[in-house]
Amino acid sequence: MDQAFSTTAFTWILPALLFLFLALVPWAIAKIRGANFFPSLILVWCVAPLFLAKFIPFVFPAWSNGFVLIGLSFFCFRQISFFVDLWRSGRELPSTANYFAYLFFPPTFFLGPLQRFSQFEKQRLQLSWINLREGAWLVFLGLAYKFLVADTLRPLCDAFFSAQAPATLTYSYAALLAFSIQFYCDFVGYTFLARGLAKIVGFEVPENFFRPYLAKNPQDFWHRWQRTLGEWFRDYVYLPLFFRTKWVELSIFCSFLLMGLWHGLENNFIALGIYWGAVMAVFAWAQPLRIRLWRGLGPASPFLGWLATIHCVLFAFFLLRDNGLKALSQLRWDFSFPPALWLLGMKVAFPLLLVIPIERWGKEKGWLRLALIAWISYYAFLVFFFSEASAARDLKFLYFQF
Amino acid sequence: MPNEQTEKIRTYIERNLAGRKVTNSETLFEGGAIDSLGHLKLIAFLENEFGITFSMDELDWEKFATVDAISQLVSEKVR
Repeated sequence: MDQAFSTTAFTWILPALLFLFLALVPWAIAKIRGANFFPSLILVWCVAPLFLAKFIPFVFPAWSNGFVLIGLSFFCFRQISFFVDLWRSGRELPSTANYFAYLFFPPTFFLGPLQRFSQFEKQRLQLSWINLREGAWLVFLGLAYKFLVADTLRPLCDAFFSAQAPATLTYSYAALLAFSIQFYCDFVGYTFLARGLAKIVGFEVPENFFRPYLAKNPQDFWHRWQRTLGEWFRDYVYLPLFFRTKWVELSIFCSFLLMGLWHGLENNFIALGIYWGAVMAVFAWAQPLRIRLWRGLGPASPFLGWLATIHCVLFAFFLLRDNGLKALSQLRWDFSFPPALWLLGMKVAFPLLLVIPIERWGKEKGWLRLALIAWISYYAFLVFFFSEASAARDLKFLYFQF
Repeated sequence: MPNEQTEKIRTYIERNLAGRKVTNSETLFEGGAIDSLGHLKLIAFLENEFGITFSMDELDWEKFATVDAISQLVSEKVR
């Protein structure tokens, strides 16, 4: 009984009290001393938990004792956005209920998508049959992306990145492709789930992904990939930095480096930040050159641009994944292709090439049932033929770790 | 001065952002001559070249819609 209570306290009560405390202090200061009282102090208060959460487990692992506040990053992002927008707009302090509802709105609490307070406060709880139907559909899609595609690919990706032996180039390429799809579907699945749950209670949450793997250049990719987080970094890091330094390339580099460090202080995340920072800074610096090159390539330029971008992104996945740097360093220049990969490829190709287009087509035509039937048929197919995939199912999203 | 100023702005955009000829009345963002990166580079250029400053509140793309509009904006700030 005592142990059960201490586990509950550790998992739920302590984090809830901590979040409440973090939200309450700056709010109380703003309420008592005015919204514009000592902005730097409030900003430090909002940023410090995020900094400590990344710094302490890395430098003093014994102190953190495995304690992780899931959702802290996005909580801090929302809080920073709330206060900075308040100062920039010079508006009155909104109601306490709205402030807390914004910070603790359950569907988007853990991983976003991020939303501005000004968009959020216009919305109200609204239960209706239409909202329930649309929301339930999004929830269903979210679970399908997560369980049908992402979790089916997980064993392959985990096996590749945890392997001690060097991998062939072909196998690495296939595993990297699989991981890019797994990561995308895992994250899109979460976003659908969050949007669906919000929709059920009448709230609109912005979309986060716009077919990112079809991007024609790195800048285009970051407009399509996790757009709400990208916009947050643009508005609260990149632009303020630019208006201080007036140096576009430096501001971009520092923003992406910070985004990499936000994932964690491990070598691969530092490398990830430096990598994207360098790619984007060079992209900005070489603007006239690449525009001329783009024109010179003629009609082939969109395809070549896409090809270069997708490989740029695939390489970044090496850095995002734990053991990715090790896997990269162990690459073997061997082009053989293990037959087991074909089978796994089939599992992925089927939903992507058949079910997803049917789902999109059905949705465009307003035939939601057709899309539903396509997914259910595929799910039945998977369960029947590949029941071992169910062992990998787990309601844990990859981005929780950040 | 306004003509010389407009010329400088247009030349900068042609050489460093658009990579092609642009006209003074062409809509730069819609025509793809400038994107969000180019917008900030242009601001840095205008500040250096004409000794003016922009703040974050002045990032409105519509004010930078054409070479003429940008030149007008610069003239207002220089005054």
